[in-house]
Formats: sequence, C-alpha cells, structure tokens
Amino acid sequence: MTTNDKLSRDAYISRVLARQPVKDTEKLMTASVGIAGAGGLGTVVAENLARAGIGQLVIADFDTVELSNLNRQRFTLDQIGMQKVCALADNIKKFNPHVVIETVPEKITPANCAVIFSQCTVIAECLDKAAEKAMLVSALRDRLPDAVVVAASGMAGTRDGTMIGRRKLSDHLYVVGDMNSDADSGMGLFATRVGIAASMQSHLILQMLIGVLE
Amino acid sequence: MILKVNGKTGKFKNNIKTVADLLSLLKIKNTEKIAVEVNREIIIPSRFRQTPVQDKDNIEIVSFVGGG
Repeated sequence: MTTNDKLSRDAYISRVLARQPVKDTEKLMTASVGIAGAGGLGTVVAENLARAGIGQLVIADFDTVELSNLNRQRFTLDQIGMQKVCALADNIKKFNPHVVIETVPEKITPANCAVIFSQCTVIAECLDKAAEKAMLVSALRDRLPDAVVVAASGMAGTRDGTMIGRRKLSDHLYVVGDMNSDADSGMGLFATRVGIAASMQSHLILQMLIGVLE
Repeated sequence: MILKVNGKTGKFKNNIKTVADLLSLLKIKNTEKIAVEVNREIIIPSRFRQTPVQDKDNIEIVSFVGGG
C-alpha cells in the first residue's frame, strides 16, 4: 500500500474522519469498548466503532473462523482457520491503524470477564447462545457494576428489521433486538438482520460515548 | 404487594417472597437464559432463592434468545 499507511493520527482525524464533528471524534478516541464475541454481532460492532475512530477495543473470542461464518460475520475466505480475534484485528487495522486493539483468544467466563474487560467503560455482549448471553450479562453487571452492558437478543430470521428495538433495563444495561426471534428455532441468521442489531448496539454505544443518549 | 415487573405495575400475593418465587409464578423455567435486575441491581442466578422481593420493587427480567 501507499501513503494511506503513513497517515499520522492527526492526519487520520482530519482526512479520514473528516465527516465527523471533531468534538465527537475526540470523545470516541479516548474511549475503551469491550467486544464479547467476534461473530455476526461482534465483527460489525467492532468495525463500526473503529470506523468512527474509537480509541481502544478489547475483543474476546475463543473461536476460529469457519466457512459457515461468512454469511454474516465480517471475515474473508483467506481467513478460514484463523483465530477470530486476530482476523478481526487485522481487518480493522487495514482501515484504521490507530485503534488500540487488545485481542483475547479465550472463552469468556464469569470468572475471567471482569479481568478481560476491566478497562472498558462499555461492553457489547455479542455472543451466540442464549444461556451464554444471560450468563455473561449477569456476570459483567455483578463484577463490573460501573460498566454499561449493551446486549443483543432476537435478531434471527427474516422478519421485519424495524421490529429490532432497544430496551433499557437500567443505566447500566441495555438490550437490543426484537427479544423474540430465536436462532435455535430454525429461522436462520442473515447478515442483514444481525447487522441491524449490531448497528443498533454500536450506535447506542456511540451515542453514550459522545454524550447524546436520551 | 405492588410490584413493577418489566415496566408494568401489578398486584402480587404476599406468598411471593423471593425472586425465585416470582419467576415460578411467571412460569419462567429456563432460568439459565434470563437476566434479572431488582431496583436496577443485577441478581445473579445463584441468588434468586435468597433475594427478597418487596412492595414497590422494580423488577426487570430479560429472557435471552439465541443468535449473534
């Protein structure tokens, strides 16, 4: 590649992030966000926040990239077999080399989640299985009570995208999704609808960090 | 006893003494797939049986479904 690789941080802000108000970008650049799971939700949440100039991402996932991921997860054929966290970090660095990315290639558990995400003010729950989502949300809220958890539930299938909304349980817990459409019921998962949920998660986080969340 | 559950206020019998009692009344069986907050504080599943619910408590229950 050429000059793009050499864009300094200041040049990145003024040229790449030219369409964002600088005062908003400055807030995003000092923030650290946790991405719990680098799948259909996590790859999109991480990429959206990195495009907006987030300062730091802590991305945790134990898994490797498989062919059946590519219908919705932002990986490429040449990344099959790679650790997801490494593949995602590589992809992000190609458009924003200034994000500090901490990759954690481990299974997230109640015991390790507080250590993994200790420096994050917001954590996006981007896991796949319902029981694991519930476990992680409870554990994070219990062990990192000052962090905000933005979870997702209900984005499977082909029903209307506008059904995907956001539920606020408290100042520290939000859930995005239609709360109902279950991947385990055989309706499948598509990039479009999972992407709507992920974009809503990342937009909510962006609003929170900029300070415009109502 | 008056409880607010998922934003809706309702009357509950006084034999509902704990979070576990309330979940049982609401016929929520898959307790491993839910997250519960009482007055904006998370209640982890191992504490469902010992966490009291009291008049005017605000209880939020999320039932998670798969996909991501």
